[in-house]
Amino acid sequence: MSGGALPPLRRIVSARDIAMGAAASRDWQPQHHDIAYAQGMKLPDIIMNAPTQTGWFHAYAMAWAGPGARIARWRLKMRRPVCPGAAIAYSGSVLRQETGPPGALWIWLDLECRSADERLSAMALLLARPDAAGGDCAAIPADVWHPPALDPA
Amino acid sequence: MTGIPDDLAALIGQPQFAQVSDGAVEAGAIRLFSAAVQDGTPAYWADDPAVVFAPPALLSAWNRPVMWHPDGDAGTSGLALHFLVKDRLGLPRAIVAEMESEAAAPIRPGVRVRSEQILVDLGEPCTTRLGEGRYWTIRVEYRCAGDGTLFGAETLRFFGYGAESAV
Repeated sequence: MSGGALPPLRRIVSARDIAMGAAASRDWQPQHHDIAYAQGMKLPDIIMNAPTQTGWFHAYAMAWAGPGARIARWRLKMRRPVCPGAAIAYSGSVLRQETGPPGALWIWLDLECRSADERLSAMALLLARPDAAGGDCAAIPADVWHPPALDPA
Repeated sequence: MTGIPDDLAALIGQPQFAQVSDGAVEAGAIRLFSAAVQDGTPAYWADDPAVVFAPPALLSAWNRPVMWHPDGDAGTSGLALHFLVKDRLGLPRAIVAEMESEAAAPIRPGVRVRSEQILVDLGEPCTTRLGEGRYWTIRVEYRCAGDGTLFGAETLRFFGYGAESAV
C-alpha cells in the first residue's frame, strides 16, 4: 500500500464552517468569529481554529479508511490561515503500513490542505485500520493499543 | 534574561493546573462537532452510548471552560501553564510552532475529563525570523476523572517572542 494516494476532496470554506467548528470545540477566541478583531490582528478574515482543521483532516482520513478505523496519532502544521471563501483541496498518500494490534494494521498517512497556489496546512497521521471486513479498532483493548511514533517532522 | 529562571526550571516535569471538565462528555456535543467537520464516522453518530465515542480532534475541548457560569467562575485560560511561562519570561507574543497529539482510550459520553499541564523543556534565548525569543514545550495529559485512564495527550512546542528588552 505504500505510496498509494487518497482521492482528493475539494471544499469551499464558509464563515459558518469556521464559527461552527470553533463553537463546537469550545473555542471562544474572537479571531474565529469576529472579523473586525481578526483584521485587527493583521489577519485577512476570521480563521479556522486548530481543532476544526484537525477535525477536517481526520474526517478526510476516516472516510478513506472506512468502517472500524481509529485515529492514533497526528501532527498538525498550520502554515497559512484558512478563511471564508477559500477553495481548498485535501490530498494525501500512504507512507507505509505495518501489522498492528491483533486484527489491525497501522497506517501512516501524509496529508495536506492546499488552496489554489499554496499549502495551507499539513498533517502527519497514524491510524489503525481493521485487517478484515467487520473489524472494529475502537474495540482494541488498552493493554495492546500502543501506537508507534510518527515519522520525524 | 539568559539561562533558565529557577522558578521555571522547578516546574519542568511537574504536573500543574490539574483541572476537571465543567461538564460530562455527551453525545450531543460529539454530534455537533462531527457535523461541523462533516465526519460521518459511525461511532460518532451512534445512538448506543456503549458504542459512541468522541472524535480525537475534540481531545482538548472538554477542558476549555465555558465563558459564563452562574457561580461567576468562568473564562479562565485553558492553557494556563503556557501563559505563566510567557508572562514570567516577559514575552508578549507566542506562536505554536508544532503540535503533536496521541489518542489513547476512546472518550465516551458520561465521563468527566481531567487535564494536567507539564512543562517538558524550556530553551535558552535564540533568534528566529520572528525575532529574539525562546522555545518551550508543554505536554497536556487528559485522563478519565473517575479512574485515571489515559484518554490522550497533546505536546505543543511554542516560540515566544516580542520582548522589548533581551530575553
